Amino acid sequence: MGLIELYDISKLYQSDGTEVRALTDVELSIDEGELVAIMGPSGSGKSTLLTILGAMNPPTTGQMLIDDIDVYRLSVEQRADFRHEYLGFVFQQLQLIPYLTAIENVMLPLAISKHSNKEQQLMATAALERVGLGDKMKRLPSQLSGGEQGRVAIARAIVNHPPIILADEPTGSLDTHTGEEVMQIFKDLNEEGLTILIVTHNPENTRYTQRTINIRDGRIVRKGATKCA
Amino acid sequence: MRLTDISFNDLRRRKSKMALLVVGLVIGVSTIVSLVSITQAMQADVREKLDRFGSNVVVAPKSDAITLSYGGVSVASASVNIKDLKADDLTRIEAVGAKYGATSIAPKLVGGVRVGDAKALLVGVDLPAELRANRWWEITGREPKGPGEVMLGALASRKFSAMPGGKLTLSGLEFAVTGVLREMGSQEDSVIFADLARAQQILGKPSALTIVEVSAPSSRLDSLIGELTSVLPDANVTALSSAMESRQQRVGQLTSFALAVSIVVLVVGVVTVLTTMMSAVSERRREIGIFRATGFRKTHVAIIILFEAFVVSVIGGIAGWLLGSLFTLALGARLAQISTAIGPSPVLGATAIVVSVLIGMAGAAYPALRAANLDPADALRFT
Repeated sequence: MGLIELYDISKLYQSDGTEVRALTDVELSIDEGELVAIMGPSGSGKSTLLTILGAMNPPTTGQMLIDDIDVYRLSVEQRADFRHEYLGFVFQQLQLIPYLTAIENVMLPLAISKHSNKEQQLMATAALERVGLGDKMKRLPSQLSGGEQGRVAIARAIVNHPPIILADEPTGSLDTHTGEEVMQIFKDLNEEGLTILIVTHNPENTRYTQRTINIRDGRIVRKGATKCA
Repeated sequence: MRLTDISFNDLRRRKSKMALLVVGLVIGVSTIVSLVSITQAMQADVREKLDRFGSNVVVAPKSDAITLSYGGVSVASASVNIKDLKADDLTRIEAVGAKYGATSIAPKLVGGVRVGDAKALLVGVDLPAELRANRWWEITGREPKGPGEVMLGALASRKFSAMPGGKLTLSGLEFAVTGVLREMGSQEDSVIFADLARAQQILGKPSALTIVEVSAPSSRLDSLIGELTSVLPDANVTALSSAMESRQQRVGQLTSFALAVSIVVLVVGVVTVLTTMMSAVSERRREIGIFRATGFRKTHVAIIILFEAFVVSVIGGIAGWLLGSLFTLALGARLAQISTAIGPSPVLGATAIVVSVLIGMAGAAYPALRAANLDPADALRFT
């Protein structure tokens, strides 16, 4: 049994009085320690799948188990606690908070933890050093390059040591070289044991992943074989 | 990093908007502080004067005739049918008054006199006692000092065209007008005050008294009235509504007005905080989405928003209290028509801060709820 199990997941939206089917009968199993790419064209449902995997978007039907926890049977507040413990997010366009420095952005998930301020600083420093930004911790996002902002976003996702990282188009706004650097960081983290799912439309990124899940019109069309890393 | 650090960071980022919100709260709180300070000072002033000057009790003979009246006493005309108080009644009143700490005992004879073709009400008074009993009187000119001098109420002065320095003929006798009382909206406005002995002579009632006014501390008034009633069974003993009590009534009306204005200011304050915080929440949708996605509970998000409103309202409360206190210190005494300056009150300061925080919390409650209930997937525009 995988770390993440999706059974018969469907998602319907109401849009201008019309029912829109974003996902249909998605069956998926992701093992612990996998690095998986989710690919598909715009509007294929890959972001919807990511928000469902991210415990933020209850499916219309189906069940999702993560570490044997039936996530959508948890209350809204329990799901928040679950996200804090199990999931790290790297958002599309990175979503750094502009008025916080790099280290403050990384410390954000720790603001609701029981760690002291000093412990938070040490954890955030370690995360930033892990992504090679130990010397730019006091800079605001606007004072960092796109690649550096991407690294801060990754440091924020791993600072709390969650077992799963979900990334939505993490290289979408980066040039090829910087995008490769960011993907290499994901690969390194995966090699340290993290389970990572990356939504991407860039086929180049699949060079770093072990498996590619293709999604089209809300259905998984090809799950791909697990590659040797 | 704590949730409060996130709030402080956001406040620093939105300096100008939050400064405007603080200014709004300062104006509201300082308005309330000024109104409350001034009305409280006026109430205290009235209470203090009532205690210092005492409330007045009128002892008068029982009578049914009504034509002219003063102090609750009806006087039919110059040929009155009222049983006057006797000389020994005054002695008994003085004894009871001394027992209850009376500050003045002012005997009077009231009667009708002719001024030319018109009738007027003459009140013979013991002037030193009368002035002690009515310390709020304001006299244009000076008080009479001898049997040949009289003082008029404002309406009587106008009616008989008698001004200080002028002359007035009462029942054929000429008197010097030395003073005119400032208009008070009371019965004193229509009467002519003369020396008691002279009035007794003019009215043909030597040693007679129509009423005796006793000033005593308000707290002992009921006991005083009870004992006077028992020692003078043939007299009416009643509390007299004094000018100070009229002022107390006016202060009461002003207090009600201040309360109404304060309520309006409170509502405006709440609406101001509400709109500002709602706008801030709208601008921070994505940020709130990040908070929620990274595991912040709804309560954590609400705490961030409410703490920002708390900080702003505490600053607004303190600054509003300081500004309101400065305003009342500078102008309050003049506006309240009292002689002593109105100093800042720490109790009012604490209350102002609490009220400001309540305004802040009431205004921020709905935006905080909205922020807490933001769907993270929607806020991050995943969907």
